[in-house]
Amino acid sequence: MAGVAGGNDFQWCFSQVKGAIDEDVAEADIISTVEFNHSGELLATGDKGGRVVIFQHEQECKNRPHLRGEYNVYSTFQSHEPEFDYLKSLEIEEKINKIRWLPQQNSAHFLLSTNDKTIKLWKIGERDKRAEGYNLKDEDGRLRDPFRITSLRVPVLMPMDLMVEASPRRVFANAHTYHINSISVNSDHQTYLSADDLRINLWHLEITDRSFNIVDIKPANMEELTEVITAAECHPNQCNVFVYSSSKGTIRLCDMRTAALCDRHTKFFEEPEDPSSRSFFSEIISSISDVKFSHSGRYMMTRDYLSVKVWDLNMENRPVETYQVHEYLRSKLCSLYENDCIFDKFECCWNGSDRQETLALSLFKAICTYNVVLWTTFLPICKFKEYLWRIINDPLFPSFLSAIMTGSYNNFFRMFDRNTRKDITLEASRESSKPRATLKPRKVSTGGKRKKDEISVDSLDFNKKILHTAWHPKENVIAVAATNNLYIFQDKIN
Amino acid sequence: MISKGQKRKVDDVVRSGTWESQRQSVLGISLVKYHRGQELMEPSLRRSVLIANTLRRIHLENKPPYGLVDLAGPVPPMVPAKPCIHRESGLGVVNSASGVEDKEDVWMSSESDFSLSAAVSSILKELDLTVDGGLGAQAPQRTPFRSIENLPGDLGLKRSSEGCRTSEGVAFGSVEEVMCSSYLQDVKLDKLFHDIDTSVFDREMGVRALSAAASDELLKYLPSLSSVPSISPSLFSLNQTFRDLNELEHIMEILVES
Repeated sequence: MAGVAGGNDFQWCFSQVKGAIDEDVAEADIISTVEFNHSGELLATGDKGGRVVIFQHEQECKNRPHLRGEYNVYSTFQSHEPEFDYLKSLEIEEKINKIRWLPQQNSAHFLLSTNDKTIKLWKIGERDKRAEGYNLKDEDGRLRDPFRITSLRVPVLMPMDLMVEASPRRVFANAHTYHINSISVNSDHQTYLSADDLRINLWHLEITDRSFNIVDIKPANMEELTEVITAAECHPNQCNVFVYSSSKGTIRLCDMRTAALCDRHTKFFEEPEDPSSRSFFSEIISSISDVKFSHSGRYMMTRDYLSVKVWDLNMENRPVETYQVHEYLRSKLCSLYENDCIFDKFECCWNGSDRQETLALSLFKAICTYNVVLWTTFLPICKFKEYLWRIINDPLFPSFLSAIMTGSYNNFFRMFDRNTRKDITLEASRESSKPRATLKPRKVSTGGKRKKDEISVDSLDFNKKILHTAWHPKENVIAVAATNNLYIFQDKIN
Repeated sequence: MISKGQKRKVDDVVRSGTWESQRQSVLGISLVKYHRGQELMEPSLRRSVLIANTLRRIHLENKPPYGLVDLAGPVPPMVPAKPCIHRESGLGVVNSASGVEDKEDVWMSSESDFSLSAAVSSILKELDLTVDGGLGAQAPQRTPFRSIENLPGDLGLKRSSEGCRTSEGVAFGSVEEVMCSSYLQDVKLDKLFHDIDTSVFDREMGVRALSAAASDELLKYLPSLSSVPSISPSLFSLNQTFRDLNELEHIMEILVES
């Protein structure tokens, strides 16, 4: 059966790689966040140097329609600068922690970018016309002498080379004492939330001097602090619901309608600890580094150090699915603690659309309304039944419709197909970067005998970590950030 | 890796000495790591809290985890096992709604933990001063005993843990003895661990192979985990069904929209 995770018919192949090839990686060039916009036309990356680079998908060539277009640089701008907090004698890093696109409402694009302390709303607009023929100034900008002007003229708009401008429209500052780890735009498209280690604030996009504090887990006595907030996200459909995850492996779902301060959760998600796998590091590896709702809003996915878990919002006591990302690291936790890798925060993402849920819903609607359909389309009942039967039994129907992706070490990243239950490990490397070269599945050998093409756990490069990945909202195109390089892969269409 | 059905033998108990040495090494690493983290220009609160929690856990689990699920069958009941499991379940229990405030009862168990608790408290207080810009300085200085006195619910736990201590053997590292004998007041962290036999740490921290061996020992306590489902090749042909699927999708869209 084919699926995103492998099979003879579905394969990932290399499309592009962005970034320098040098062995010496400048710290400022390390990519810290990757995000597609809602249409998939734009792909934004943020780096440690506080810069945002936006790539645009170019239209496919007319004469070669089977090739998808490429992503090329659309705009680059410095979003955040390093700052110094004189009161606490602390440097504020300019590293971009998260970028979130706003849904597009006009020809301009808007995105929110944040560092540890400040969130900024950027407008990215195009300008392809220029006014010429001003009365008061010359073409080169020099002011004309008013007494010399004898006639008036109307300025004319002349076409010019496309210029993409990024301008900061709002700066949301001074609301977070601790480091911001998440931002999430609400489904009402008017508010968004920002979360730091101990507090979550709700903002209105138009108002920068005020924000509502909706979660505060700071204890009265800091000595009692044992848990911090690690990620937060708004529900995709219900603008009053959001979730936040903690360093103890718990997720709390809150409803903003219940109280102004959502310290009391509506739902509490935690998987009971497996007593047989306890170690000193159980808590650290249970710390959730990312939480993402599914597109339908019925499920959510969490990433902890060794696994990805899918939760049904209606079931709080355990996840419905658990996928092991790199279980072979469990025996190496002590070394990973020593070299700090155990604190790495991996992200996870869903594939573009949970089409399985959408199609199932469509099917349900169709069954309910088939009487009307028959009348309007004159579809014979037997033919309709036959189509339904084929849909339900088609092996391709459930496949490649719901998948999740997350990163690992050695520039490996993993994909899990939720329907076929298959998984695949791929590598983002320069060696396999020939145009449209198929990516070969990789395998880490855990036993004593290492087969050919397998890599042993001890040979893994823990400095090459893939923390940030993104999936195109509509197509099977993925963006993978490997240190300072951005890899774009797509599916191979036969 | 431990094979299924293998019973816990007597020598597994003896081998708990390696567990103890791993515990010591993790303790040492944690302390070094915490202080290095504080020296950074931007201390990470998440990291500091996780390291502090690990330190607390190390100190709580001052016995090899007999309470762990045994693959072979029921573990012969030992006197210390019960309070140990009780503590472990206290750690793993689902938290109540109010979150942070309930967690303090988890680590208030044995007297020997008080000094480390004081150390950990002072760590977090320093952190508060650093990050919060002095707001935490208004919190009153706490001595370890006061924390126990404030929690009436823990009296039962305290008694059982005392029983645990007296029945335990003396086969623990020097860390325990230092804890018991030192004054239970706010002490500087460095002074606290001054008397520890650092030769153990030097051995452990210098040689990674040894810690790997120690972790292998620890692995014996862990059950074998189920393997990831493997990828099996598909023989299905895509083209025909792809076209069919597009056709079906088209029909579905018509049906839905109508």
